Amino acid sequence: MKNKPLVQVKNLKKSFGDNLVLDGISFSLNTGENKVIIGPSGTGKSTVLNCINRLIMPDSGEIWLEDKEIVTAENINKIRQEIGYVFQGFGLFHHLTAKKNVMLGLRKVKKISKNEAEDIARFELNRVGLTDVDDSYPAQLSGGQKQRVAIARALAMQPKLMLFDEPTSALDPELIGEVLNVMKKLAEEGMTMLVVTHEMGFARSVSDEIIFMEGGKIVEQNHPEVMFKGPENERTRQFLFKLDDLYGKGGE
Amino acid sequence: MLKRTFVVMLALALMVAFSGFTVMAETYVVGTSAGFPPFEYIQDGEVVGFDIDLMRAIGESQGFDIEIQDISFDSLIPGLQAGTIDVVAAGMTITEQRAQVVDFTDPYYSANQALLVKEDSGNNVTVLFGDNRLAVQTGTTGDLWVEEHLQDTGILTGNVTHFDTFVLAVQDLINENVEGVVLDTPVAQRYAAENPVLMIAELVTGEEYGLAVARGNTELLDKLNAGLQDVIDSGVMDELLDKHF
Amino acid sequence: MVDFLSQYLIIDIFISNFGRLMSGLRFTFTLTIVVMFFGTIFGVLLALGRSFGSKPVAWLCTAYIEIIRGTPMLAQLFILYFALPPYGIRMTAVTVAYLGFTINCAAYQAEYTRGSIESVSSDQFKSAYSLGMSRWQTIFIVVLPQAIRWAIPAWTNEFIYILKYTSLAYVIGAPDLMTQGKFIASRNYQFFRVYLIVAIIYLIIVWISTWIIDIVEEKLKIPGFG
Repeated sequence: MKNKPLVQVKNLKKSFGDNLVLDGISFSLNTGENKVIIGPSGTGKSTVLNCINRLIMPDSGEIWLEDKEIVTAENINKIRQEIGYVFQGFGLFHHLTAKKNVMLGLRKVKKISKNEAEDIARFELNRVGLTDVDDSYPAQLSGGQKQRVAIARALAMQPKLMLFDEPTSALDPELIGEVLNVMKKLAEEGMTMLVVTHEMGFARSVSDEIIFMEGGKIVEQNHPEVMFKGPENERTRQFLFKLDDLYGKGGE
Repeated sequence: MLKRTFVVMLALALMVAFSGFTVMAETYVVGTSAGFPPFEYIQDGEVVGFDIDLMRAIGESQGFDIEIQDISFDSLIPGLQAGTIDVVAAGMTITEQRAQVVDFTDPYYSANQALLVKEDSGNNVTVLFGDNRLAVQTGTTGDLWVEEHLQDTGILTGNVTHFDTFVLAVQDLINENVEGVVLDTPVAQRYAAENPVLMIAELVTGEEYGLAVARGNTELLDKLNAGLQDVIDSGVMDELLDKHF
Repeated sequence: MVDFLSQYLIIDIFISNFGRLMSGLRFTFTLTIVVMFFGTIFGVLLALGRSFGSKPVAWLCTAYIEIIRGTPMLAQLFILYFALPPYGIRMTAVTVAYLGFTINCAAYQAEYTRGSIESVSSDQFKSAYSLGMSRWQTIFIVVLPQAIRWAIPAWTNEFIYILKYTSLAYVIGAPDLMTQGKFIASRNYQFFRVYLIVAIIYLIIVWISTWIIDIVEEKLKIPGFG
């Protein structure tokens, strides 16, 4: 277990026009830890994730991945190889089969040979529970399958950190389970994960810490049991109470 | 009161409508192809020239108006065949082949073909032979003459470009894309007077121009011939020749 | 009745002028193929320049596209063939035909391609970047292959247009099918029948081309895509 955290976010700030979306966000992740960010829509949860792999450029603050600072990094492409990113829209490459989707990063970015890339692709697809979709195109897959291919694609790059941005929000209820199971398995295998989601059951049973964000700030962050049983902040209590109301205690 | 006004207005309207019928004379559509000065060319945005004046004079003599339609030369005969034009007045040479598809009036002008070259090019009649390039207007007697006497005989091996109008052919000559242009003498002279080109040879073909109508349109043909004779007899023809030549 | 039918009898004219007609057809067809090939490549580059290039590059591409699409093709041919020689730039009618139509085709292909490039969702960029791909890698490996498939129907339309518009080449005297038709008709005065033959030949070529292009489109199809 390393002493220094794998990921450190320090005082992250970001505005879109007049809108201050991130107002000094700070937290960290140790290797193997998994944290879930929750909060009302529009509070910048996705923006935090997008800043970490610099799909969005922060206005100020620091983001450290081990000993590399991301905001000022010159070769961001290299750093992005170490961060896996899965998001609501899946983002699969429509013109490539599932297998080719997973292989693309390996072939074009890591310059791995075709055969080796194919082996890795098959392994990762297997890992997420997909055995028969190698040569299917995204349009032929269900939502749950698509997202799992997306996860396999991210995993193939051997990332140190996996970011999940509302991975199940676009899925039919019956397909959510297969994706959450994969994520659970990953957590058990020791992957460092940062997840934005509304799936409270997952948050409660899988995460090491829950971060509640609102108005661009972290309102409260604590162990899931504390958060769900006795949060310190009134606002946290209100939010979780509402969610519990909607989804029932324990979620899924 | 209202009823009376209505009746008066109706009567006025009918008068105006029918007055048109009595005042209107017959109008014939005359097809021509500008770019053939002094027979037909564009001046101040209008088609003018010898052929236009001639048709007007004939019209005056025979009691009809004319409406000019300016189109490409090789569209004139199809126009007659289709009935979209009534008369062709375009310096058109009377040939046996053409006479098989249209009817010609008596001849009203005789001409030869001429050769134009670019000023200061040092070219002479030898541009008609060998590897030289010529430009002509599609379907004209000059075009046919070059084909029959120069190309088919192998005397001229260079390329002959066919344009829709002489204006473009002469421009091609000025641009040095061709060495010579073959066209009717009076027109060649006119182009030479206003462009950096020279007329350096005349090919004696003894052609005669006639006005053309659709095959079998004897009524109009007779009118035109009568009018033509009238124009010649009355001295108007000489006036026109003086004016344009 | 026989008279009426003989109007449509065109076989004799076709046979006696076979050589000329075929020569014109060959020119027209070759011209179209070459123009489509270079016009499409150039068009894609213009589209990339306009969508992804730096400000000055994008501006130049846009200016080119707007000017060429905004002026009549005939005017473009005229300028290239008649207006340039006084300035020392002299080209044969054939060269002008190839150059002029390619320039024109590129502008239209650029617009069709740009439309399909922009319809590729930004999600594709997100995924590619997150794998560590660079901007231009993403454009060529992810965006273009998809955009091109979307653009193919428009491209094939352009092919048919070019095939027919090459008939304008007669104005500058290039020896295409229309020029040959005019030539033949100006000699035998059988205007209706000659142009009927010419029209039929164009029609047949368009049919055959469309058929071939449809086959190619099928081959390139991806399930659920396009």
